[in-house]
Amino acid sequence: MDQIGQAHGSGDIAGSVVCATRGGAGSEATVQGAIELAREGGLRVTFLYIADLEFMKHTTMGRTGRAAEELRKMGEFIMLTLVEKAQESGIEADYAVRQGRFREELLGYLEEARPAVLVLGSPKAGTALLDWSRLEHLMQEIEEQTGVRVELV
Amino acid sequence: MHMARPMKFVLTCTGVLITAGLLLALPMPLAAGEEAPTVEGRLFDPQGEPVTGAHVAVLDDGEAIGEAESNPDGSFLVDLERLPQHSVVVHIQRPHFEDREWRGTPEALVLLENDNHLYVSDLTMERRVTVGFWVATLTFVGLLVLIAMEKLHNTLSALLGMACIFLVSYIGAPINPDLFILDFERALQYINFEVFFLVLGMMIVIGIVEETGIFQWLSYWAYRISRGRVWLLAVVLMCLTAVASALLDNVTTMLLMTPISLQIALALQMNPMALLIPEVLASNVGGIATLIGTPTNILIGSYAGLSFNDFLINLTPGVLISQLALIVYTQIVFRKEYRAVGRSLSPTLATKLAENARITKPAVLGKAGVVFVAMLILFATGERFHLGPAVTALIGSILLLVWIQPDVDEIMRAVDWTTLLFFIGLFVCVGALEEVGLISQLAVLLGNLVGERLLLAVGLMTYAAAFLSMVVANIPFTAAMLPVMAYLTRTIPGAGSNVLFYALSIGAAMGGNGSLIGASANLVTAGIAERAGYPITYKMFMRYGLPSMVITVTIGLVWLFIRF
Repeated sequence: MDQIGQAHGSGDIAGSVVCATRGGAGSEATVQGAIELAREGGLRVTFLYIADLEFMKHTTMGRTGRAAEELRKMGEFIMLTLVEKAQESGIEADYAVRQGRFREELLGYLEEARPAVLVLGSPKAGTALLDWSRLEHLMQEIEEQTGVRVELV
Repeated sequence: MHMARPMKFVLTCTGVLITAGLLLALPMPLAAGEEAPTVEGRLFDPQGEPVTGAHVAVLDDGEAIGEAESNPDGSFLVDLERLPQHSVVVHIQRPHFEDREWRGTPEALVLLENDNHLYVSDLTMERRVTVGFWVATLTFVGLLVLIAMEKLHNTLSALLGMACIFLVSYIGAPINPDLFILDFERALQYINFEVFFLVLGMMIVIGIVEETGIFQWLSYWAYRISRGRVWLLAVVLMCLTAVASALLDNVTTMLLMTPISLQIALALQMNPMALLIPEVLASNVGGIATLIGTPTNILIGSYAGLSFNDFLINLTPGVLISQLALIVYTQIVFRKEYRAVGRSLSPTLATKLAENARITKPAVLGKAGVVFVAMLILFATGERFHLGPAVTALIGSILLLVWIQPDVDEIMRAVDWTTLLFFIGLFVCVGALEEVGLISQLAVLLGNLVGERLLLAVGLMTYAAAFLSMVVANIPFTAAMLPVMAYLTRTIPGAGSNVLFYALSIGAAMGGNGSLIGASANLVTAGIAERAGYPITYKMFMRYGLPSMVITVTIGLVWLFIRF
């Protein structure tokens, strides 16, 4: 559950839109949706990348430390491309990278940052990390625990 | 009175004679310093494999007068307490075999009396299918299923298999002796410590090298020199991956290459699949080039006694040709993606990419480079002074540790102990299969199928190993097939060149390209790509991987036909 990255940029994070994303072609609509939301609300957008190493749990690979470091660097780069995209649209943007299980890290980050809105990708995109039932459960949990409004794009 | 004396004398003499006769009739224990009579022989299974650990008893009229246990080469030497008086019978017992009895002729008895030694001709012991046979077989199948279905960590699956075997052998056997599979002492004999220490030594070296950032720097260098020509970038990255996989291990190579390749692909605004899939295919093929490139080669080399140079001479040229064909294939199938011209990066992204790809520990890299080159020289020349690869890897890794003096705890964390434990569990599970006779039966089945046709055997083994490795984890598969290859190598004329072991190497490793679950490197690559929002599905991987597997395996096979 180590936090291996931190928010970049400045300003009041509570007035921001957080977009939890992995980047990639399947997340373009989600990213664009977050940028639009930020523009409409005059808010800053923070792109959140969670380096989840769950995919390594069934392989004979035990060296997760190195994998986490490489994923962190990759996540930072991907988030930076999104920050540039948002800035090109005239939106103030920054990013954060955390490492651990997606659900726990997301809840932990939201508890700390308390943003106005959380934007998540809709499973309709086909490449989403969570299916509908798990996503609905997570959304409910987020709203109950953190009070952060969740928008699906 | 006068008559009584002679009578007493006669009676006394008679008594003495009877006593003497009785004493002579009794077996005479050996006097101090007198050499014990011995009975010697050798035991084999129906496939001609030596039977080790069998209990051999020499009986005289049903009474045991000497006992021994057969050696790893199947030989036994029984020291007798005394010479047998009536007959000589050798009684042999061994779990998973029918009891065997050899009855000596009167001539054999005479021979033993005269020479104080008797050589019993080679004895064949018939296999017996016990309940333990089925338990061991089902345990191994369960292990393969658990790994394939990702229901349990590979290491836990192998250790669970080992635990099942011991549980049944120790708890079940007292209830039903046919449940016995193998005991702990016997299981230890199946653990290949040469493989264990070679993998351990290489892991330490890799653990040090991977911290230096050399892979990332080389990938970035490939990006720079390609100057936006994506086809060239793909070729250079494939070559880099193949060489790295041949010298290190595929999983580490892809763990380090995938994130930086993804960043480069995103920087070029191209589909990352067009770089990642060719790279992982190249990794699986490149790993076969050397003894240390893949765990399957390490297993094969250790079992068959193949040296680093044997792989270089007999396999590397074929792998290079396969790699060339793979490059041509990927250039064709990804031609649309490669036509794209990369954009120039923003200064922020360019700086970030360069920062992520810098060499982080140049001094360590220099020292690691020196030691690694020395290790390669020793791998290649060590055979001359009986220096095995495992010892070379251990010496190299320890010298490197002493030279750079890293945080030992950190390095120990870099060692993949889970893989080493996986090997231990696996060796015991495969040992159980050997013990109960499944491997022998499989060997005979294959032997009957191919007869004395070496070409058929090589072709069958290569393709069977390749297609099976698509669905079955190739390390357990290879470990189980090694004794089968040894049997076929002995029985098929011309197979003494060890060509069947090379066929297994090509099939098992290149077969990993046929499906997403065929190799650990594929899964790691897919996992990282998925974390970047570019999932590699089973179907997608197979669409590119399966044709490449057929092409490279066929080229590898043709190479074997030419070479041998």
